[in-house]
Amino acid sequence: MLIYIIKKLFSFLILFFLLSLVSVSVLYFSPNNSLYHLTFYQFYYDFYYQLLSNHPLSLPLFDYNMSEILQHVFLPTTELGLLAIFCAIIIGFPIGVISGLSSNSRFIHILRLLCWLLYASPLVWIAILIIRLSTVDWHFTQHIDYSSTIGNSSLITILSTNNDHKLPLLVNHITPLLLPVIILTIQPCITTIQIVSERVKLIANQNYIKVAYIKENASWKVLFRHLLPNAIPKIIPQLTANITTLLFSTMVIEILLNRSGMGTWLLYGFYQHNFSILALTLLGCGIIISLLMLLSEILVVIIYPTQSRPLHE
Amino acid sequence: MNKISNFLSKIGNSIVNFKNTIHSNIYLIIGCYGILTIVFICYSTKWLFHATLAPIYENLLPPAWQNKGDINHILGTDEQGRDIFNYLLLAYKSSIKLTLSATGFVVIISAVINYLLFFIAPLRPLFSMCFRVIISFPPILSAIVVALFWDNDIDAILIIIGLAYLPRFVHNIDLHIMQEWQKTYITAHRLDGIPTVKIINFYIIPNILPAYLTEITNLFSNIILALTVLTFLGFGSSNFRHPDLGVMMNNMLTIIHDNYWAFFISGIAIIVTILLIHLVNLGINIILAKKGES
Repeated sequence: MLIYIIKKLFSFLILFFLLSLVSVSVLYFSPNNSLYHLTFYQFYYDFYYQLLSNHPLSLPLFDYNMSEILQHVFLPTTELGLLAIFCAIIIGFPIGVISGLSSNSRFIHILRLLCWLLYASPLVWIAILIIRLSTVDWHFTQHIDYSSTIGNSSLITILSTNNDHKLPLLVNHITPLLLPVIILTIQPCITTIQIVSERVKLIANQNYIKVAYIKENASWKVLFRHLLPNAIPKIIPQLTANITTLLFSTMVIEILLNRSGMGTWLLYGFYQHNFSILALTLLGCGIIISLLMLLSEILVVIIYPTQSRPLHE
Repeated sequence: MNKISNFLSKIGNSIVNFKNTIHSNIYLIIGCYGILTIVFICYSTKWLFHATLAPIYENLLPPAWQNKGDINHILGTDEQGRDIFNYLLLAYKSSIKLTLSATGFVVIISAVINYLLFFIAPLRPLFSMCFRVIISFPPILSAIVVALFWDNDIDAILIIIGLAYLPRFVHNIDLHIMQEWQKTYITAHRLDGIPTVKIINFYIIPNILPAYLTEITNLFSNIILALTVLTFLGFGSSNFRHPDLGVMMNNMLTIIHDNYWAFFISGIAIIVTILLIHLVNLGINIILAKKGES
């Protein structure tokens, strides 16, 4: 198991290095790069030195410092994405388990049809449909001015402050997040239902589960002791494979709702031809996605060492 | 003369078999006839519907069933006097064409990569790392990079979308192949001395066909959805001969308060298409499962 984790960490480091190369290459080979006289190595070094130390060197890179970028760009997007994942798991996991174990074919058919209908709806279409149904005053601005986007603090900031009025602050913060979270939850929720239901159905038909039903007194014991521990190790990696799609959806929703985050920042960079923004977003996205994947891979092995033995042997 | 009549009877038999297969379950009946309708609509936009995007009609007409609506313009007209139904037909045709070409591109490339991965095992870590890098970037990000470095071109956007979904597709197919490869009957064939190429072409691929079709169906759905989102946001707009459904959605947003059908009909077209394709896939899977059982 330890060797498996070390291997995963090592491959993450290689991936991180490749991502850093890609992001610097975007800036280095950009048409408006005024520092083409620097060698690639020098450019690479300067980029990361400036990024990590906040000391301007030879690169006229960023209008903001790193902590501002983290707080106003990466944190809101990550928060929105994580909230969507959380809601999708809370709603989708139990429904998936129930549909996997259900023998009621009508329920399964209705659920499958509903899943297909929602899955087949384009994100922008369903988002605008929900916005219209919720009668929010909204209009779509294609050429975004990043300075005019709806800024927001993060849940972490609110929770970490020593304020006596945390609850009203939290409510104020969560209320505008509800609409984007509802829109974003739909697709991952359907994916969760489909994956969980398929896996649970497969495991429930195994002989050892049938034996467990005979041995155990209650069916919930079979569910929690045998079925889920054997199903989850394969479910988690399948779910994390959809993180890229979720991040894509999050960025699109941010653009549609003109919210502060990676989506609006990226589009602003696109219209301004700002390659520094592009390089940083490439790096940020790459790190977020690969870190979440790494975490899921390691967590599965740590939580379910016996069941995930085929993974690391 | 005898040969011709034999040939004609063979064709007749295969048509009857095909018809029987289509009519064997409700999913295939709905799916196949639905897809035939889509194909018919796509090929008849010019000669049957005479669809053009010329702004030659009265501006902002409501749908035909509303007051002041005109029966000649079922869904009404937009701000520039373009018939929305004509717009829908052309945009739909364009979307289907673009999605099919991107899906075809991914399926062909993935077939090559899957063969390479199967026969040259040392390539696995290399491809795995490349795919990890590719899936680390959401399609919108790659689309922006390409638009800034190359051109805001629809072909580039199709390649971007294809590449974004390629790793998952290759991985899933590889998983199915490897699961099948480890089964006992394949081991028996290998012990019999049947060449690996023959095993993969004549035993593994036919047996993973239902899963393969499901993957292609999912790929098609993902590509059409991603394409709609990206073109809605204005990517790939530099060389559009005909706008697709994403562009149509974007254009119809301005009149959503006057005629919401103009906007929502484009989404409904996508939903219906994806559902029909999933129904066909489900129907084919049922037939293949029955064949497997028998």
